[in-house]
Amino acid sequence: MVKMIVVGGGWAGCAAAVAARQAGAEVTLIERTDMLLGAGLVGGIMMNNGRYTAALEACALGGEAIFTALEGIYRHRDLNFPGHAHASLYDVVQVEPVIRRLLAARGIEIRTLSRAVEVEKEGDRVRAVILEQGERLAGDAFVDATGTTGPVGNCLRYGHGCVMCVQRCPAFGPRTSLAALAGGREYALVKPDGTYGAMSGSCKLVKESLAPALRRELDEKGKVVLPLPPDLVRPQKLKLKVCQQYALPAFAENIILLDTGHAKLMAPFFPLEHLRRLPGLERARFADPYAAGKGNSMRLLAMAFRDNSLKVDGLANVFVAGEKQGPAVGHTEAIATGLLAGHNAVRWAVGREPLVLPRTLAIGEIIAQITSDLAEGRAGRASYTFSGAGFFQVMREKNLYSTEEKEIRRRVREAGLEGIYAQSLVR
Amino acid sequence: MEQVVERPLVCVDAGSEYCPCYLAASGECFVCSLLRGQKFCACSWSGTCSYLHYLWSQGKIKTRREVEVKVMHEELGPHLVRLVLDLPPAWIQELGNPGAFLFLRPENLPPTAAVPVTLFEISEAGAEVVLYVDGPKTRLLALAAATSCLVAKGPYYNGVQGLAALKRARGEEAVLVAGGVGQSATVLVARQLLRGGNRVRACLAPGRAGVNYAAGSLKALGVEVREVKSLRAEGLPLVCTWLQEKPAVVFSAGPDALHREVAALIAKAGAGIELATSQNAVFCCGEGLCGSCVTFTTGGRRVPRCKAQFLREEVTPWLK
Repeated sequence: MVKMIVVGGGWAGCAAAVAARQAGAEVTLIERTDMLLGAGLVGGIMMNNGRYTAALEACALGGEAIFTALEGIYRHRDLNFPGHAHASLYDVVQVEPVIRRLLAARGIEIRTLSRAVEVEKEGDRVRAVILEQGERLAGDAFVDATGTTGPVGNCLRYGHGCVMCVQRCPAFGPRTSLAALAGGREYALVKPDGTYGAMSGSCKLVKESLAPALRRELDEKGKVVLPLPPDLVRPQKLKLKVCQQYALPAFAENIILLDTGHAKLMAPFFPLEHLRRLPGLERARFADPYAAGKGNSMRLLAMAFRDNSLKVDGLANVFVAGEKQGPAVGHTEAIATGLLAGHNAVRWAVGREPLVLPRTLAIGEIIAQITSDLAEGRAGRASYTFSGAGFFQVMREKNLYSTEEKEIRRRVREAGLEGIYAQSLVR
Repeated sequence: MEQVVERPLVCVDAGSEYCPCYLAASGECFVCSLLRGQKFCACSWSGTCSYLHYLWSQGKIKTRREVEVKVMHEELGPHLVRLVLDLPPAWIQELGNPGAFLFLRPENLPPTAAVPVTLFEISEAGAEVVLYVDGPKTRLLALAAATSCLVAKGPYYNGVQGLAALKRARGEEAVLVAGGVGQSATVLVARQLLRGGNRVRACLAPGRAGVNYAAGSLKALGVEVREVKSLRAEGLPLVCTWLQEKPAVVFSAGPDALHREVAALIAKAGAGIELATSQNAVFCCGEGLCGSCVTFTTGGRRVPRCKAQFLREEVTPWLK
């Protein structure tokens, strides 16, 4: 029997738990808040640009369970908005119970309100994590999917203070880092001005606070573009964003709303009195963060040094996923790295070589680029996403971008990896 | 940019009315890595952010007040004095929890003459403390208490280590072991445990106090009290049998030697029993400044015992 502990119940942790379970491990997933999915509770954008390719790769590798579960709760499919093609928007209000049921049905033990605060180590191996309440959870291998957002002090120092985002640190306690508690090295994103971290790139309005006509349009079309009066155009705000794929002029000159169940406003924050000057938004109020008139959460502040198999440097049995594994931003990125970390943790536990995805796959390429940054002293100088900014360009140049399922499956098959995440490794 | 994560500690004052303190201003806050000058946030989380408190306070340090208090004075024995203090109503609320203590001094003497005293009991009649008179400060205080008002400074909260364990215990068994003046800390601890729906048993020995002065109050609360002549000879064997029933927590009140013996019994009884203890450090300022109560954690960090609540395996270094 192989016992796996996944620390952190965001998209990365959920994907790692699914992959580890598929590989035959007994899996316990611990999450400090009362809900799974973390930032996935307020995001919702899938399949845009190169994420389409990465999602199909993950499915061909054997990680289709999560993507299949999302099929039932997409509010809009094949949506285009400035700079982005063929996006799918899942319903952030519906998603959590769907994923929780998926995990529970697969026999994954989910422990919410469980914050890891210490680790027990023997040499370079972690033996157990200790929860805040003192309980000890022993495991053969571990996935650290604790993310990089917050805690409060970081949002104070590098952002505009705690803005009461969905992470809810003041209520559930701040995230901790398994890798760091075990002595692993970490780094933060460094902005050109020398400050650290990046601000979450969107905030959400309560849909019921929109004017009825605007709300109808958003429900029907999935997006609304409202031009901003010239005095409210602030292009410098784009630089703050963690999601550089949305740092396009169109996002500075307009209010872009996407229908994810909330009205997702594609700006890190927006002063409420300015927002209410726009037609249809006269009575607008924020759903997340509650103080999105002031700021947003700060991210990319605690990434781990790891190799291409996502194993943490200096620790034998800890693998990292999501933003913890490096500055690859987004749900798809988290799921893709989560699947690999969960799968590899089980491989390690049964004495097999961990898997490294080839650079003929977009997922392999993004992981390898971050590894190169670490090796060449550029840790934290750039962030990546399948959906835009520099990496989507790389995907196109290297002919990695495709929306053809057959083609993507062929690439995975040629690498000898078709369905590999679906194979049990434990006898 | 690489980061080093230092093991966080818990401060009893973090986020309270008395945060930020001088340690924040001096860059020595043992809770907040940012106030210590590090780049990233990594604290043990007390439910609130010390850095935020410091920023909002705009550098103003929150200090405790001194108030003049009327005193009722009663001799319990040759060295033992019971004082009932007429404290401000706001203090009565804050002093009702385990570990609460005050500094008391005669009106006409400087703050260096102040004696730290644990709150024995809080009632409508006022706040009770029991003073064991065995040195110049306590002798001067006892003399002054018999004739005039005293000056109280407070409230302070860290008279007990293991506060979290006392709060965690719910609907379980709990054991109190107290010798001598250690009894002073037992009543508020018992109240906390009873609030949590626990069944509480106490083993008391008079020690140098000469009398089991906590027995009456504990019985009145509904604690099952066993009085013994000597903890070593009778008390600890009795506690040993109680430990077979796997209580959630044991509170040891007395000298460090007693804490060590109780810790050894718990270790023998097996996992799952938590230990809370009375604090035996010398407190002079109560603000983490003077250095009289400084100890070093297993990780080698210098921390004041008047403020720090230790995490599990750090609870023991000063017991060794």
